[in-house]
Amino acid sequence: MKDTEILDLYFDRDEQAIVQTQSKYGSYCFSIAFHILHDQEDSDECVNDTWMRAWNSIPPSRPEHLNIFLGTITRNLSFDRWKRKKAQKRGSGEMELELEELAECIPSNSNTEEQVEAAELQRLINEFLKTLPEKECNLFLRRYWYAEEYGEIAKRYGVKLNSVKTSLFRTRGKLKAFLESQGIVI
Amino acid sequence: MDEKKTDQAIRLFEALEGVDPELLARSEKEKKIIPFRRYVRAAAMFLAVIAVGGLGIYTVRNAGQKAANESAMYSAQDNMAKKSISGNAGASSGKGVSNGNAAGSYAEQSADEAADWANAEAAYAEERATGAMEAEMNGLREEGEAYSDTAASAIDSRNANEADSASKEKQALSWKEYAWSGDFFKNVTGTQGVSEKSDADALLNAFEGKGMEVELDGGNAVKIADPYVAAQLYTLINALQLESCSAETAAQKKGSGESILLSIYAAEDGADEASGAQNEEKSGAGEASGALNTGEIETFLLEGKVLTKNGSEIYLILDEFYDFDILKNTLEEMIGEQ
Repeated sequence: MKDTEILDLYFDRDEQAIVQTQSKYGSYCFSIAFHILHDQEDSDECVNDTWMRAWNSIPPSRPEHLNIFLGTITRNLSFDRWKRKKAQKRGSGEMELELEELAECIPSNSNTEEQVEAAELQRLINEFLKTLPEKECNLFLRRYWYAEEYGEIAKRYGVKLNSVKTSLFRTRGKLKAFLESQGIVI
Repeated sequence: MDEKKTDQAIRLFEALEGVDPELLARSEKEKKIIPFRRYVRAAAMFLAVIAVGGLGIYTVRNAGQKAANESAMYSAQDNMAKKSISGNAGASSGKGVSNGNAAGSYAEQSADEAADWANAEAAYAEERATGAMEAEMNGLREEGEAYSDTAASAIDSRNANEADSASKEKQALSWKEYAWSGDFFKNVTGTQGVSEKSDADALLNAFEGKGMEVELDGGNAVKIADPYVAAQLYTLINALQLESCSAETAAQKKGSGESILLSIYAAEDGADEASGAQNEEKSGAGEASGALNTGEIETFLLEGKVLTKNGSEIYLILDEFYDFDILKNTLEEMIGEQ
């Protein structure tokens, strides 16, 4: 079923919308959740919560990219759950590794108390991503938005594992330089 | 990682939530990144298929045309032969327009004389026809030869170009094979790479004792002097057609104190003509050693790194890349080697 048709079901408040969404994007959302949580049960719960959130937000929202819209919800839910588990000293290390990598992007001047607003940070990151070549941008997003592992990314694009690592290393450096040039504090 | 860093990293991760959906949608496509070399090979094969196919079609069409012309020629001859036979017979029977008329116009003469005139007429007509056909055949033959010559010269030209390209590609491959093979780095470092970061001494040790001049520049650079390697590297840089950057950017990168400089010296101009000639002989490409002129500055941008050629030096500036495995991988990625 096309996305437009699924969205029409949401707007008609037809519960088939959930069924069709599950059918089309169930594994997609589960994949995002599992990359963050590495736990089947927790991932399933996040995906189910995603359908509920989607049902509550459509309408009035009518996303242009339904998959991205759903994926974003799943990502946020999954990461929130991960933070809760981390606070309880539970959970696996893959997410820790990604955060360690992202920590390399933190500008050196991030020692004061005055932090950049979240919206501004989002804007700057978008601005940065648009300066990147398509290939580099894709690799960065697969790693830090979709939380995919290096091997999966390499397989997706048909490149070597080391190439992925090299590209991400360079991009993190560029992001750090960019944020520093903007004089922001995280 | 301390808690503050973790919190900051979390903020960054969460900020990615607002990424433009178009960028995310683009990343969803499983676009295989075709290495440059494989792309060139595929493009060359495609063009070759097109060229061969086009030539084949042309040849077949030309052969068909020739066959049709010859067939027309033979049938015309055949017709003329038939006409002459019928003309001889038609003197009496009246078949064929000219022969019939000739026979008719001589109706008042004796039958023998009329027959003779008719035969002569027919023979003349046949001769004329034969002559015309011969001229036509000659014309067609010349035209066909002209076509053959054109096709042959086109084929020769194509073969020459292919041979030239193949030769150049073979040369380039051999430089690549040398420069980026494991042996090159092994000869340079003695290992597959140096893993210690911000440790110039480790790099110094890696290069020393390998028969190459080693020098530190600004405390965090290593220079290697090998004229042959320099010539090859410069040729490879040209072959890769790397994007150039301004001299100011190169100088900025060089003098930042944060970068490591990997310099490869060529033989200095006039300093050692013998080794220069030896380099030329070795590399098989005059442009390699001849292109390095003292005082000339040329800068190349290598995927964010900067290569600066200044006279007899080539600087490869690595942004915090102390691991030569990463350098090797970067360059392999660029030239599309698997």
